[in-house]
Amino acid sequence: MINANNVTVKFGRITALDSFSIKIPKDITGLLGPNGAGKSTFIKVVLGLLKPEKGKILLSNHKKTDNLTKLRDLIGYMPEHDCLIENMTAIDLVSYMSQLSGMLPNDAIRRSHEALDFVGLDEVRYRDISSYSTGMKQRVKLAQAIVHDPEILFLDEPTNGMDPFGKKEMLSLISDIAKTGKTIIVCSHLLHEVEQICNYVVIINQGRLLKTGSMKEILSGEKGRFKLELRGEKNHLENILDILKKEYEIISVNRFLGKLVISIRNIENSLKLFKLINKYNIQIRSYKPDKLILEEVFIQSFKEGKINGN
Amino acid sequence: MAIDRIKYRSWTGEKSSHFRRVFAIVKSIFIQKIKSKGILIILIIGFFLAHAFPIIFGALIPHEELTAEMMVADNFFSYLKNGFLVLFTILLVSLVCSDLISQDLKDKSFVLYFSRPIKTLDYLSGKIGGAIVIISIFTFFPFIIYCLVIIGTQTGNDYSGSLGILGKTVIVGILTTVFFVLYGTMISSFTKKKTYAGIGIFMSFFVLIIIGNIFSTFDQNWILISPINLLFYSYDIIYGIEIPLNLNLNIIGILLSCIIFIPFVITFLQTYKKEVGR
Repeated sequence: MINANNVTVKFGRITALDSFSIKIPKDITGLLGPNGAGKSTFIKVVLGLLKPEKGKILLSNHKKTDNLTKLRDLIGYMPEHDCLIENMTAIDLVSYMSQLSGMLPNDAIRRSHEALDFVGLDEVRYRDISSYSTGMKQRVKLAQAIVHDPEILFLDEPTNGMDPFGKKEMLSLISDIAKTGKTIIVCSHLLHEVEQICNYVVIINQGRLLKTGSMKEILSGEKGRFKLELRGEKNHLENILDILKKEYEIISVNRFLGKLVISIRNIENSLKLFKLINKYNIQIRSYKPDKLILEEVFIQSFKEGKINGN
Repeated sequence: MAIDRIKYRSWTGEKSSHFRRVFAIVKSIFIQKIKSKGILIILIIGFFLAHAFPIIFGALIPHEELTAEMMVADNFFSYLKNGFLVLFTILLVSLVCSDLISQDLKDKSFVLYFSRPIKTLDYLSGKIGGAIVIISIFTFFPFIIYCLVIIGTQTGNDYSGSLGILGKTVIVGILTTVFFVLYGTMISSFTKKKTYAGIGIFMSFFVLIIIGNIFSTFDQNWILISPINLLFYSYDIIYGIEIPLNLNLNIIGILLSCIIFIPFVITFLQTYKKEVGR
């Protein structure tokens, strides 16, 4: 678990994190935000690479953050950019990194083979990394991040440059790791992937927290928001649309093969709505709570952020 | 991809000490360098030309004891100031140190170190330590072997005098190794290309010798701008041999300290910037 309390980081005049407070649970969390939002700064503060001007970050059950060795032993980090030592083989690199993380040489070799087996890198592990495809490099990056079995795992764009099959596999690997009760933070611009694997979301911009909560909670949308699918004669459909516009707040309207799909807000009494539609001899083909997708939440958070002056 | 993927397993082993983590860097550098054919070739050829012949001749030529003159005299029999030793040391340092930091700059792999419990000083200690072990195969251990062979074949009975020279040679060996490695590491931290770093290390020694020689017509102390000359005069001082009167002892002391500490400070700052992600 990560508990950030009022963390402020400044680079000269630029405020990278502005009184940033967050509690990240033991689960898979998506850390979202545009470039320059403060995601990398947050990771650096957690890793102890940057000292915050104000506030503090506590990891797991550790009460103090001043013992860098102990703290970094708890963390695994898979960077976004290329960072692998190209003239080493995967097995040498992962074993080398595990020794830097405090494993004895014999343990390191055994564990590195396990980590590389887990990420699905077979015989190629004995080849120089310079000959690897982007997908293979991503797997090695994941292996070096998990080899010392950290409690907290930062994965920065884990599927970057991978083919669809590889992406699916990488997401499944992350889900598997999460089952062992680790805190996993996934930074990604691919919101549908985050939506697929994360159970918790943190959206930040300009160093400030815009939205946070469980994925279920965030995507459930607001109360009284429904998606209505109607079928009937074209004139009737247009008439009912005009009436509904007067009575309710319409968010979106889609016309598709003689069907009308409407997202409506502020519905307090569904029966009243049904009766109204029934008068016009129109079929209700479906009526369900309008769930959001993460992309909508993301955009909405930014709009709200702008209104609040963030 | 295996048919049945291996499941993630937790690890419950014991963590090693901080020293062992730094030692892992030393070991990695040593293994990587000793596997390099170029380095092995330089080590073997260099050993024959710069060490084997002086050791054989030194043992065969009758001598009463090990003297400072045998180590650093300005004549054919001088061991430490012979051209082959200087040339092969510079070649070896160029090969060993060229990619010490530059490879990590190129691969952007600092993040792999600094996201672990490794600080700038640990990182540099490991890298420099590994290079020192390799370079000392050429600039430390052969010096000791030479002294032991000469002492073993001496005809006189003054072993204390010979052992005194042996002690001074230990200091000279350490100074030479540390001096070359720190200088090479600094140049490696300036560039992402190991070729540039290698050529930079090799050429800088000769360029500074030329500059020193040109300006020495105005003031003899200019000769000390060349690290090689500076090192040679430091040998003289350590062995208690008189240096030319027109050379300033203070300048030698200051320059020697600078040439050891300044490269280290520069390398430290260059690497520290990477640690904090700048």
